[in-house]
Amino acid sequence: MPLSSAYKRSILCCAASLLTLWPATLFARTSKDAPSSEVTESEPSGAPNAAGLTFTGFGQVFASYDFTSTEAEDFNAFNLRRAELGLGLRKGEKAGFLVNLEAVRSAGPRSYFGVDNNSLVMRVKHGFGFYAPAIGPGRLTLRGGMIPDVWVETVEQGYDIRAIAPIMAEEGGLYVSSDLGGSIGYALWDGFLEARVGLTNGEGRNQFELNTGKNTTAVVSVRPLRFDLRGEGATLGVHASYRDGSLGTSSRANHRISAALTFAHLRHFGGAEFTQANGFQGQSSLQARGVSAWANSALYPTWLGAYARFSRVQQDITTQGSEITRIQAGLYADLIQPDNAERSIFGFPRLRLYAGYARERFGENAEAITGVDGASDAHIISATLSARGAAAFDATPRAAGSTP
Amino acid sequence: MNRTISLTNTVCVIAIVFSLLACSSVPGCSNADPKPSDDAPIPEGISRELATDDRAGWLRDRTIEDNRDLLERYRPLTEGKFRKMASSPYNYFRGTANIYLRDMTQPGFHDFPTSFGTPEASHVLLVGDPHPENIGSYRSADDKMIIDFNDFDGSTYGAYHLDVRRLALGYYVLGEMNADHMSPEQRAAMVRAVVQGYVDEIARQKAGQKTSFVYERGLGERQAGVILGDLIRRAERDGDIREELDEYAPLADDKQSRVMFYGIFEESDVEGVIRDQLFKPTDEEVARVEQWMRAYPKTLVDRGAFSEDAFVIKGISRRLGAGVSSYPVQRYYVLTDGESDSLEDDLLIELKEILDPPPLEGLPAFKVREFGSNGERVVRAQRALQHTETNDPLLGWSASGDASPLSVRVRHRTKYQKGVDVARISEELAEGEITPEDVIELATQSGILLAASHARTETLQGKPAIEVIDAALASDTAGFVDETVSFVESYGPSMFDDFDRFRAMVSLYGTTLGYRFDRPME
Repeated sequence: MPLSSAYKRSILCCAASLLTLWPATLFARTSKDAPSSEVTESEPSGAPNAAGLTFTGFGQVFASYDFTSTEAEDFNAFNLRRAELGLGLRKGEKAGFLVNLEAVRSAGPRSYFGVDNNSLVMRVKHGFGFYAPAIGPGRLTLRGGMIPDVWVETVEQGYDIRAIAPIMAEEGGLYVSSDLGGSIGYALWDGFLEARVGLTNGEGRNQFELNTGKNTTAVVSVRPLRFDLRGEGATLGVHASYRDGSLGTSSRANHRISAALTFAHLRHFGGAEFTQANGFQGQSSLQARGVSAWANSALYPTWLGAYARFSRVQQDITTQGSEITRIQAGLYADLIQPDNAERSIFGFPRLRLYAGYARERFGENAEAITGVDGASDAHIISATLSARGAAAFDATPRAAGSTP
Repeated sequence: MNRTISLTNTVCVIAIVFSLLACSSVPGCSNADPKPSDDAPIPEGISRELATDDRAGWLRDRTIEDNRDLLERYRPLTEGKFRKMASSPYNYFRGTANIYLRDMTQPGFHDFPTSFGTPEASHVLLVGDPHPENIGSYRSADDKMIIDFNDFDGSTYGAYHLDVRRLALGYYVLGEMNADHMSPEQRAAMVRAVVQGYVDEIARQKAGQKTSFVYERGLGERQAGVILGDLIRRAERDGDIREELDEYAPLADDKQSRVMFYGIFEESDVEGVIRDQLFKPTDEEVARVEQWMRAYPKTLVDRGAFSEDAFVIKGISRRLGAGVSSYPVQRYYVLTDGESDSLEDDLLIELKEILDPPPLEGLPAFKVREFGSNGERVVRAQRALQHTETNDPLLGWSASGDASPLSVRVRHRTKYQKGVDVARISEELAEGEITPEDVIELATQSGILLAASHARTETLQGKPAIEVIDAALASDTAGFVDETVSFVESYGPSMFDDFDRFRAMVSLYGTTLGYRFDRPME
């Protein structure tokens, strides 16, 4: 009897997992055989440990006031677009774990099945262990648990205005930013060339696995240009991705082809992204396409910066007028000095205030009520406070009687 | 000492990356869109292509998504719901209001834009799921008989034409099921009559003239038309003798008290489906119902119309088998004391768990969550959309606690409230007791009723709905009728294809549709 594709995939996953663990096993044996000063257990004294344990706490908040004007009505509200709190423990640069909680509304827009009406509740956004040894000319990174999507994470490295909007791939429902699974990455020559593969359930962080198939997302990044710009490092990256995906109980096709160009600097960011979806919104035959471009720059550091963003998602490339277009622009001020030295998973510490305008335009066949021009269109004026920071402290266990 | 890893391991890791990449690009290696084997069972008369196409997969996933909470909470009953949906096109139609609304609001399989919509007319208070069987009779507080819509579980704010299309679609299904007794012209005329009735009544309401569906006792039988007249006649007959009490809380042998009936009241003709069965509630259920009943009286329109003792509980039963969409949910009959110690004025009250309304994704609705619970949403919608707030003086709601999302709609379980029954219409058509013209008359009345319901409400923004609907129709009522009829002629047959797909998926994947449960069955 021929093996089904799900079985083939399961066997492949097992093989990949075994192969993935093989280097780690060897590495562990090497460590045991040849203890070094980096191994805490071999250091009975209270002397400082170069490879000690480090706790990291971090958080991020996007709080906004939004005035929204639609054809039918105007509305204004304070919103909490993001509230995240995380804790990590790492041993040197090589291994550790991270748990990151985020606030979400407990009910959908029209749902009454929420917690205490529609309270904000915390849920796990990320929760994974990692292992990142230097191997050969590069660094291997393994992650397992609730991991960041490898494509979203790649593009966000060159995206500095997350407080204004998610990247198009996430905003347009083309990707979700985290999922259960594992990923493996290998970066050569300090990230000049990087390949990452994620193997995940494919249902996202708000649902358990519904089918036997797994999503495989492969990302290749090249960063051909690295240079100093006014005393700070700048990086130009070119990225491409392919995802073989399935969604839901009946394993609807959910494939993606994506490409992006990113530029990252302490004060200047820019980029463009493209995604073609083969299978969208649970319909295998539906093809969607999204493009986006963005830029932000500190014009007069640190008091005045400007941003602009454009995104366009065509929900059905065979249907004219099925696109959703968003144009956003505004100004911002950093209320504290950016500090590249403290870069963490969230980037450098920040307290930034944005003031901006957004225009959301729905094609006549992208409207929630098709044919009703203007039913979903909106003009939005927002003030957004973005705050984030991280703190790390040495958590190396010390022998009894040692000096704190 | 520095640790190093051999070059062999490095090569191995890179090989994994590239092997996964390579595998992803091989079509046969992809997870997506698996096809059932060729010998998988598909009901006779349904093509394998239809049963396994993209729409079938989408339909299966959406049906699971729409029923996931029910599958997790009430698995056997939800399987019964799917069996019931697979038993007839009309039951399938009743169980898939959310599928219809997804088709109306999402890109992909269907594209039916309207030329008669405006942003303002996209926020009208909808009945949510108007169809022939959601029309029924009431006896008002001032002893008049009223015809009105009677199910507002899916009520929310949205575009008015979604209600009109849904109602017309219901008559299409009714017509197709009675194709042996109604000609194609009569079936088409019936669908058109719904929409014509709607636009005509909107015009009348705009001019200050309203069609009345309120009847003096004894006159409704003659004044309400053949089918609705018969409905009123039977409602008066059975309501007057308090038949509901005799059926569900009969007198005990000593005639000094009433006892709740537990057992099969009516057998089902569909295997694995309950039609009308009553169970003794568990202690936990009794405690929950008592809590609901304590909070409920304060939600009545006229609390003063009932004494403190009127709601003293004398008995509780759990009812199974009612409805299609709501087939699995908690539904209880509660016998209360009524206004006196006499057994004759005891009240039979129904408590029914209410689920979420359809999401209507993408439509801005800033203030749409204006209610505290689904129970409150449905009751307030019912009061706004019905002829009077007191069509049912016992209408109210209750939630089981401040932090609980579970809520119930409470209503009088009386035989004065009877609903139009499509199976009865089919039977009477077959036996010649009613004519196709009588059904067309009912279709016209249904359109009028819907228009009257819409017209008496305000939009989410507080504007009179009659004004915004009239403006959206822009005096081209004939155009709106043609557009809606065209929609039904196109979507109706595809809904019958969906019915076949659904029957095939029940056969292929079982009555859970192959849903992978989060936890084992208890």
